Amino acid sequence: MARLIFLAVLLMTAGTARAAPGLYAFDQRHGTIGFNVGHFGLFTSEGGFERFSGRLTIDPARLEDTRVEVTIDAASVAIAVPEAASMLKAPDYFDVTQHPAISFGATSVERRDDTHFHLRGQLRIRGITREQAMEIAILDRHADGSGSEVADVVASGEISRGDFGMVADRSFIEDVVRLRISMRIRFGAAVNGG
Amino acid sequence: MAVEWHPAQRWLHWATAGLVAAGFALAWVMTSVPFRQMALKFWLYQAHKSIGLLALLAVVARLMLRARLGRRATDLPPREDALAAAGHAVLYILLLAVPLLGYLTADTAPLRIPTLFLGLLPLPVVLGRDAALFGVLVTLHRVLAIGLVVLAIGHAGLALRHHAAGRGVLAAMLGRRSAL
Ligand code: HEM
Ligand code: HEM
Repeated sequence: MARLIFLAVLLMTAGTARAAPGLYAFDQRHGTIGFNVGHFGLFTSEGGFERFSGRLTIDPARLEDTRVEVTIDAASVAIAVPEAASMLKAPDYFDVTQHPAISFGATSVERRDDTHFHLRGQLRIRGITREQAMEIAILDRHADGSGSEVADVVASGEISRGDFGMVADRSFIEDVVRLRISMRIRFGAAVNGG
Repeated sequence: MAVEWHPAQRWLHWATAGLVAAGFALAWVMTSVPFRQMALKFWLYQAHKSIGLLALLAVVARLMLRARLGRRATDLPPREDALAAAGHAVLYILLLAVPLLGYLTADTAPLRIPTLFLGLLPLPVVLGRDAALFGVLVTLHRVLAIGLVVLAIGHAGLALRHHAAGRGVLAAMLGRRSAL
């Protein structure tokens, strides 16, 4: 019991729902991947990705072995103005014809407290791979009607777009882009619980 | 009716005319600047919005003065004078409606770009982002702005015609002594 850390929180509630370690799949039906970037104090633009898929492999007994893999369809980048969306798909930004996929794979998980974790991994955008840290918060954890454990997992982090070769429009778009990934994971529903 | 325009009324008339002309010209420039020239486009939009809001302020000030001081008596035949007054009323309505609709256009636009009055003062959000409403407002703002400018050109043409016919309306608006 003492080692049920990362997911004990997720996976157990006051003796009711019981969490199963296993593989959990998620995609755009379970949440959102959003980003925002500042324009030098004038205003902030927001966007997101409409198609992605991910797998979370968790064994509460071996937290350090937690795996997260996410693949994002770069061409699904979405932003309120059509000109901005085409700009983001073009070679200066995500270059979606050359690099159709964005991917992230976690390599380590570190517990901060019962609901906060520090994730490190490899982020690949435009064919460039960089080390990327994310902060994970587990919010609104509860048992749903059927007794499975449901939680909102929110991951946030900051990337430097320049690190991935996206250096255009530096006079108007800041380098630091904030990411926010929010997923509702149903931990009773492992794809192949083990 | 007043015998002469108050100098403030004259100045505000020409200021409004200048601001409307500048805001209108800028509207076409700002929308045709390519998206990738973002900083330029941003500041042209800000200039358009500030100029339009200054026009709104000038019109409000004019209407307040007019409520106190009235309209200058003209030397036009009564029927033409009544038509002119009706035309001016429509101009005033459009002068209020166009900037107000412009404000709401910016307010409901898909990208949440603030309106910085004179490049500095962020103005409050009233309705917030609303794609459907934005579509209606941007068209209404554009159509009424064109209506305003067409009417103002007609108005200027008539003023010049009266002037050519030896009447004193234009001279009075320019502040030249006129023999009424
Ligand atoms: C004298 C006052 C004004 C005039 C004559 C005027 C005129 C125009 C015209 C002709 C357009 C259409 C341009 C196009 O479709 O290419 C336009 C667009 C616009 N105006 Fe104004 N405007 C005035 C005031 C304002 C004000 C006060 C604001 C905001 C505070 C404003 C915000 C906008 C916005 C956001 C657009 C939309 C441009 C787009 O489609 O992206 N306008 N204006
Ligand atoms: C965007 C441009 C313009 C707008 C919006 C505009 C608007 C107006 C309005 C609303 C009035 C009525 C004043 C009142 O009764 O309180 C007026 C009066 C007048 N305007 Fe303009 N104006 C414009 C341009 C011009 C130009 C270019 C000329 C001259 C060539 C002109 C000449 C006059 C004259 C002579 C009067 C006085 C009419 C009278 O005594 O009844 N205006 N204008």
